[in-house]
Amino acid sequence: MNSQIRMFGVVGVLAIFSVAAQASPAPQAGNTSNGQKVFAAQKCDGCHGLKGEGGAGDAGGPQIAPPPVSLPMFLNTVRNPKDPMPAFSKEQVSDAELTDVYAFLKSIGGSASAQASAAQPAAGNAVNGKRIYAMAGCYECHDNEGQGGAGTGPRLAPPIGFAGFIHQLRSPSDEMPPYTSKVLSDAEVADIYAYLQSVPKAPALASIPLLK
Amino acid sequence: MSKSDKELVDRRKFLKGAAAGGIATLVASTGALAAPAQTAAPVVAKVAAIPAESDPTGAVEVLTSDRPGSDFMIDVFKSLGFEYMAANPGSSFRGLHESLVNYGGNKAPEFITCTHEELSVSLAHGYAAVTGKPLLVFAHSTVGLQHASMGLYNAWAGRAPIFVVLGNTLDEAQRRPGVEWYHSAQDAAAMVREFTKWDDTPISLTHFAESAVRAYKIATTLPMAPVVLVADSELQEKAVPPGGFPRIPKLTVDEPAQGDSASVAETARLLVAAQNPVILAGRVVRTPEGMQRLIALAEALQAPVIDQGGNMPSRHPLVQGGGPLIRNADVILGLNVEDFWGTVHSYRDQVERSYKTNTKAGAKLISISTNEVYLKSNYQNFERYQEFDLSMSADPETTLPSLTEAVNRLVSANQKSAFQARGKAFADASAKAHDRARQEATNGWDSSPISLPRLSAEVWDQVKGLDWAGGIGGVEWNYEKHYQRTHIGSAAGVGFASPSAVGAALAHRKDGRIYVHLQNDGDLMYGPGMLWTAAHHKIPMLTVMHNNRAYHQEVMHLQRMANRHQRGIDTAGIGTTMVNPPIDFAMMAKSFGWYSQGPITNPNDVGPAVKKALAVVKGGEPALIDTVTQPR
Repeated sequence: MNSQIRMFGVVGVLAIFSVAAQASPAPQAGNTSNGQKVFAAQKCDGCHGLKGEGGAGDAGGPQIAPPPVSLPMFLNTVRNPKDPMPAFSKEQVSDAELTDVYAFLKSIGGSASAQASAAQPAAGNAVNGKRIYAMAGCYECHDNEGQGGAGTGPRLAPPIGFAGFIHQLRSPSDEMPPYTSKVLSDAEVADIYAYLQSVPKAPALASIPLLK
Repeated sequence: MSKSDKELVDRRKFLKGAAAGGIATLVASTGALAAPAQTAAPVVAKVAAIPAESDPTGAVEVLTSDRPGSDFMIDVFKSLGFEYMAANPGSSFRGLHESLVNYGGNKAPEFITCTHEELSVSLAHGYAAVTGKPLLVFAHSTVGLQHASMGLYNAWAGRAPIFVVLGNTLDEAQRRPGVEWYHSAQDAAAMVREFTKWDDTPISLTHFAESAVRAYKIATTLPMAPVVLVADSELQEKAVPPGGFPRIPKLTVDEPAQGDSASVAETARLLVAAQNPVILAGRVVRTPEGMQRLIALAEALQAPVIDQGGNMPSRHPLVQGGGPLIRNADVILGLNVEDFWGTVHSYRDQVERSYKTNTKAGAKLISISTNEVYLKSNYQNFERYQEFDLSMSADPETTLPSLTEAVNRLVSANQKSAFQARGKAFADASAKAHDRARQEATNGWDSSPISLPRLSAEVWDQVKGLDWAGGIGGVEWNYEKHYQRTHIGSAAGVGFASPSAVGAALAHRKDGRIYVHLQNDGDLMYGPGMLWTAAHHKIPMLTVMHNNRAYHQEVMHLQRMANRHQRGIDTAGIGTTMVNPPIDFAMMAKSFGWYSQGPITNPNDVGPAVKKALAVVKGGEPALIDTVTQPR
C-alpha cells in the first residue's frame, strides 16, 4: 500500500521550503565570491543548476536563485531538508559559508527590478483562485486549503515566493505533475497564488490542548 | 426412480462393495483418535476389487447415515486448534458445515458467517496478523474460490497463514445435475496455485488427516502463506464403517531459522565499526519478545531504526525518518524489508521514468530476511532486485539475540561512549521531529472537511486511557505495546482493510481490547457485508471513516495523466469519486446493526461522537462514525 504513496513522494521546492516564506530581513553580510566557490564545492549545482535556476540532475532540484526564503529558513532547510535533498552538516559547510552562498544566490537571481517583479505576481483574484485550485486538482495532493497532504504534497499556504512557486508548477522536480501554460495560464496561477495567500493562518500550537 | 433415490442406491451399492472387500480408501489404520503411535500395530491397506458399476434399481433403503467422514474432518480441525471458521455457506461443503455445527458443537471452531468469500479470507488474514495463527476458511468450490482469490493474493503478499478448505465433487457420477457441475473442477485448487504455498486433494480420510496436518505446518512455517485443502463431497458425506475414524497425526511446527554464525559475526563487526549505521525494519516483530529484541539491538548500537513495519514503540528515541539517514549511512541492516530497492533508491514517475541511488558510495548493505525463501514468479510481488554485501535467509526475530550478543562483545568502552553521544543526538532529533509534526498538525486544524491530523488527535484523546489496539496513527498516537499495532501486509488489493480489521478485532476480543481503526470509504464499498458479520458476531470495534468520497489514489493518477497530456486537468474526478449522491455510511452501518453517527463534517463534533461510540464498543458492540475528511 505504501508503494502507491511513494509514487507521489515528497515534492521539490514546495517540500523543501514548506514553512511560510517570510519577507526577507535586511540581508546578512555575505561574500558572494566565496559563496560561488562554496556553491560549486558542495556541488549544489548538481541539482539546482549552475545559476541556481533549478531542474538539474536526476533530482531536478528547485530554483533557488534568487532564494525564495529568508536566510534563517535557508540555513534550516540546508541542515534539515526533506527528501530527496541530502542534509549538509556544520562540519561540511558552516553557517558563515552558507550565508555567503545565500548572498551569491541573491546576486545572480537577476536584476533588482527583475527580482522584484519576479517576486510578486500581478494582483490575483483569490475567489477565482479558490475555484481554480479545486478545478485543477491541487487539492488532491495538497488538501483543500493548501495545508498539505499526508505523504503526497507539502503545505502551500502561505506560499513561497511567486518566482519559485510558478517555476515549480511549470517544471516540477520530483513527482509533482506539471501544469504547463497550455492548461493553466499565468493569470490563473496568479489567482491560485492569491487564494493561497488569503488562507487564514493556522491557530497557534499553544492554543490547541489536543496537541500539547 | 427419482434422482435422489438413484443417488442413495448408488451409495448403498458402493458401501456394500467396500464392506465385502475392504477398499483401501475406506479402511482405517489403527486404533482410536487419541491412541498414541508407539503401541499401534503396522497398518496394512486392504485392497479389494472395485465393485461393478451398474444402473441403480430397486427401492431405496438407506436414508440416514451415522459417522459421516465430515465428522472426522471436524475432529482433525479441532486437533489443529482452530478457534473460528469463516465462510459464506456453500453446498459443496454442506457435510462439513453440518458436522461443524452439530457434531462439533459450533465451537473451536465456531462458524463466522460472512457474506462473501473474499471477506472470509481477509477476516482470516486480519486474525492471523494479530495471533500469528491461521483461521479456518471454508469456500464453495469453483465459485467460492474465485471470490476468495483476491483475499488469498493479499494474504500471499502479506505472508499470512490462511487455511482454506474447498468443497468439490470429483466423481462426476456423484454430481447432482445442474448447479453441482458448475461447482466442480478437476483440479479445484489450480486457479490459486500461483499465490498459495501448498494444496492437496485427499482421496481418503487418512490422506485427509495427514494432509491437513501437513498443510497447517506448511502454512505456519516462515515465510507463512495460505494453503488449500480440497474436501471432496463424497469424502465428506460417505459414512465411515465401524472400526473407528483414522488416526490424526501429531502436528509439529518448524522452529524458524536464524542466521548462520559466520554471517552474524560479520554483520556485527560491520555494524560496530560503522560511523552511521542504520537499521531498516520491515516486518520483523512477530511477538512481544521480538519487539524487545529489536530494541536491544538498536540500543546496543544506538543506531537509528527506520521502522517501516511498526516494530518499535512509536516514541522510542531511536525511531527516525528515512531520507537523509539512508544517504549518510555507511552500513544499512535490512530486516525482512519488503522493498529494499525502493527504500534505497528514489524513483521518478514522469514521462521518462528514472531513478537515483540514495546510498553513498561504499555503503554496505546487509539483509536478514525470509522473504525470498519461498517465491513464485508469475505474480511479481517481490519488488525489484537489490544487491547486497551480505544476505542471510533467516528470520530476523530469531537472529536478533545472537546478533546483539555479537555486537555487545565487540563494543569497546570508547565506542560505547561514542554510541551514547550518537543516541543522544538521535533523541534530540526525534524530539524536534515530533515538535515539527505537532506544528504541522495545526494546519487545517479547523477545516471542514476534517483534516486527518485533527481527526487523529480527537480520536486519540478519547482512546488513550483505554486498552486499545489497531489505532489511527498520527503525531499524538503512542504505540507502546507490541499488540497495539496490527502487523499486516498485503498486495494492496482494495477491499481488504475492512474485513481484516474485523478479523483483528475478533482476535483481540477475548483480551477485552478496544479495536480502533481508520476505514477508507472506497475500501468498505468492496464488501459492506462485513459490517453485518461484525454486528452478528458481536465483535466490538470502533470504525472511524476516512470518508474523502473518492478512490483518491486513482484521482491522483488520473490527474497525473491529464497533466502529462496537457488536457482535461479538471476531469480527474470522473470514474474515481463517489459523489452525487455521497454515500451515507452511518445509515449503511445502522442497517447492518451497528451503532453509528454521521456524516460529521464539523471537526468540533468528532470528540463527542467518538465518546458516545466508545461507550457502545465497551459494551461489546461495533460502532462507526462517518467522518467526512480532507482528501489526504
